Amino acid sequence: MEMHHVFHGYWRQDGRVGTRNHVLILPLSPAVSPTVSAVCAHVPGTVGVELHQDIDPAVEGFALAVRALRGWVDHPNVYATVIMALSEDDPVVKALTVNLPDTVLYELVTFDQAGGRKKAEQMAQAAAQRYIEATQFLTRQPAGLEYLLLATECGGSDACSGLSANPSLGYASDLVIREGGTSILAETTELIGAERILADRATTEAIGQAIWHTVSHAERAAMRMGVDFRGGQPAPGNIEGGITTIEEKSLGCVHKGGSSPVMDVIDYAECPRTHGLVVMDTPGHDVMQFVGMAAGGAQVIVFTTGRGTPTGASIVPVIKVSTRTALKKELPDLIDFDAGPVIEGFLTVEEVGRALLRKIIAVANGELVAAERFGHREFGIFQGWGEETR
Amino acid sequence: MKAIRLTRWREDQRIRLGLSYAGDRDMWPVDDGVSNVHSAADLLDYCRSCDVEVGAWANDMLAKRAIRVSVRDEDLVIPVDLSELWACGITYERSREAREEETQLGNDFYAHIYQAERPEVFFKAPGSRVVGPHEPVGLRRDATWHVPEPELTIILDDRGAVFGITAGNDMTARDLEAANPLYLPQAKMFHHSAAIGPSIVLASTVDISQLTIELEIWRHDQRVLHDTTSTGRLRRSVEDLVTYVQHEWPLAPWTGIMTGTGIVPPDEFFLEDGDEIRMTIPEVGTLVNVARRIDPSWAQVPPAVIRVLRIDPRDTVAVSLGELTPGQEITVGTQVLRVNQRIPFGHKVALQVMAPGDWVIKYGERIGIATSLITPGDHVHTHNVESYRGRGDLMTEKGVEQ
Repeated sequence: MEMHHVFHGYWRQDGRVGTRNHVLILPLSPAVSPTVSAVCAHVPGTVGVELHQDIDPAVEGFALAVRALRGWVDHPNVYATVIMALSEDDPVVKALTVNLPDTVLYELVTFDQAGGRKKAEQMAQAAAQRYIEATQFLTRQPAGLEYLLLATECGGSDACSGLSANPSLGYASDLVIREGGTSILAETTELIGAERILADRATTEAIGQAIWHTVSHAERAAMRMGVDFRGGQPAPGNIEGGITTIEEKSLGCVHKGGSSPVMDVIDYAECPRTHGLVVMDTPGHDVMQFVGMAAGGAQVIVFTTGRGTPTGASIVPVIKVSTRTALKKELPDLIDFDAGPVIEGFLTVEEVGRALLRKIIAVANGELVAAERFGHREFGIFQGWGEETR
Repeated sequence: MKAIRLTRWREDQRIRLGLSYAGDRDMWPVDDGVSNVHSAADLLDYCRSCDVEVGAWANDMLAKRAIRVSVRDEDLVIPVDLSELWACGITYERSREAREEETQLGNDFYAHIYQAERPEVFFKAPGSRVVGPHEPVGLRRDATWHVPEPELTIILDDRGAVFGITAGNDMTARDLEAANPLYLPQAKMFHHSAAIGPSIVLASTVDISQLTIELEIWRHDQRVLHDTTSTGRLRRSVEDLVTYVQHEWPLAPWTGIMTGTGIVPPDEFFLEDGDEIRMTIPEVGTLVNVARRIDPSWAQVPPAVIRVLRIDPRDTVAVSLGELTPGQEITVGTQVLRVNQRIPFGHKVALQVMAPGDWVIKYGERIGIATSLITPGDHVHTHNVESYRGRGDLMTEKGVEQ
């Protein structure tokens, strides 16, 4: 039976659809982060993040960082952004704003122009307040799943990840793709050992090669950091849960990409160029992945976990899926959806996958997830795998 | 009139029957005063033969007869032998809310049934499987989220009239119920999943419209849960529930009906083995039961089946979905093998011989290399398998293979 699911979101001028209608307060340097927090505290309804990294042309990964920040400012879930910086001459300010499309609503507030921190804070508050008032006039309207960009991630894998949560998410991802939507599979370090499965599904030879290349690049980079991957991957928690090797962990992780053809391989924080399943090159770090996939335009993130974590992504709802029912019992306020019935044999992967799709649509329609209820807003930008030294 | 209780207890291998005013510790032993009256059914027959109403007769006798015996709490037994026990769902608003919160599959039907004319009624247990005070109540081995449901329980006599009321524990596995409403019978019916008692309050001596129902759960001498409700919040009339149970089902003599719960513990609460469940309706007394995980040591059940999963037919290992003990026999597909070491939940068991250097296959793919001889039934993990990827230590020797 052909299904046509619909979600209700905020249509943007550029033709994308937001699942949220946020007013974002974004700092461009660590020094302005406390001011951003103060603005958020004073203007209810805004979301803000704190930046703890210097975004400097001299620092490695400048282009990646600028792309990630642009992806947040130009995001369908963001109605408008108040950008805060020390000075208009800050290179990151220029790099960020120079080519922003006309459809992006933002206001730049700098300490220089405002005349100090207090005045900048007041100006930012006023701008944020204006935007918040304007958001009241927008209403949710129906959109097909071809307007949905789903991002998938897993963390704290256990032996059940590859049996319950990840295959169920893969099934849900396939359903989204079947209705014309897009799904991002990321976490390059957790594709080590699973390249062949993905490369076999690549739609062209070049994409297949890109998969091999991307994973091997990350593998070499990770190995440069330490002599041996073992000890770090799989993590002690993974091992306790029954995962023996990184390959085994990866083979469990790759299930969350379902069985759809791989249409493209994109770089960190890049927007997918096609619909369907897209592989994004990201590190294994949860927050950096959230930030990168959000920057790519994802409106909903699904995070499968065998351990649980409260982490969120401020502008994008993150649905936490437990691999075992016991975990949902242990952390009832952190888990949004339980894939455990697959393990207990009560439900099949397909049944749980369909239920998960309904959850995704409910969240796209505005249902809050645990991370949103608790106001989680972790932020960190991946700055690259580093230079090859050979 | 004060509420009058009918109670049974064990004394020297004999089951005794007594009457008392609610709150009094000591009882008038009916079986001593009237010959051949040993049960609620006997008492009712006797009163019918004398053409008196049971409550009025009991009140009269308690006023006239001075003999009292004291009964120890632990000697109490189930107050009536039922032939069938039925139960009802979503009869309180709290129950509807809890079902809507727990379900994973859309929730319109719970809201619907709360409003609908026809109530949710279901068969709970044959009377022979209903337990009394101080008997264990069961926790399923294949479920992890049990709660007790304290319920006003109606006792119907052999003609379907309300004989009296008692407290009932309608044990429920919420995870099964949440997974799919069609699992309701499994969520509700398992060994020792229904308890009633400790006494029956004679119907004509009590007004059931405003009874307090109190639930306490004690764990390691700590009270971990306490809640109360009132039958005033019951949305359905008892008559209505009785009507639906018996409508197309001529009642068996002495049927019990649990009227649904108004207390649902918060979602994070689940019963553990050893928890003491105390349900009090002041007029009835306190029904005490301890939760016990169903196992062959106290229940005639076969040992739990642990599923061991071979994900792909090419796999040389399978995943255990339970804890396996050395010597245990397991079946994987058509293969039967014996477990050599303890294998925790989620860990791998070898299905075939793997020599050092052999690939270990799971998901139909290579997950590592055996580092020592592995035989079928062995625990397969970091002690006998290692990764061949991300090995910086091997890089200088061989370079990274693709």
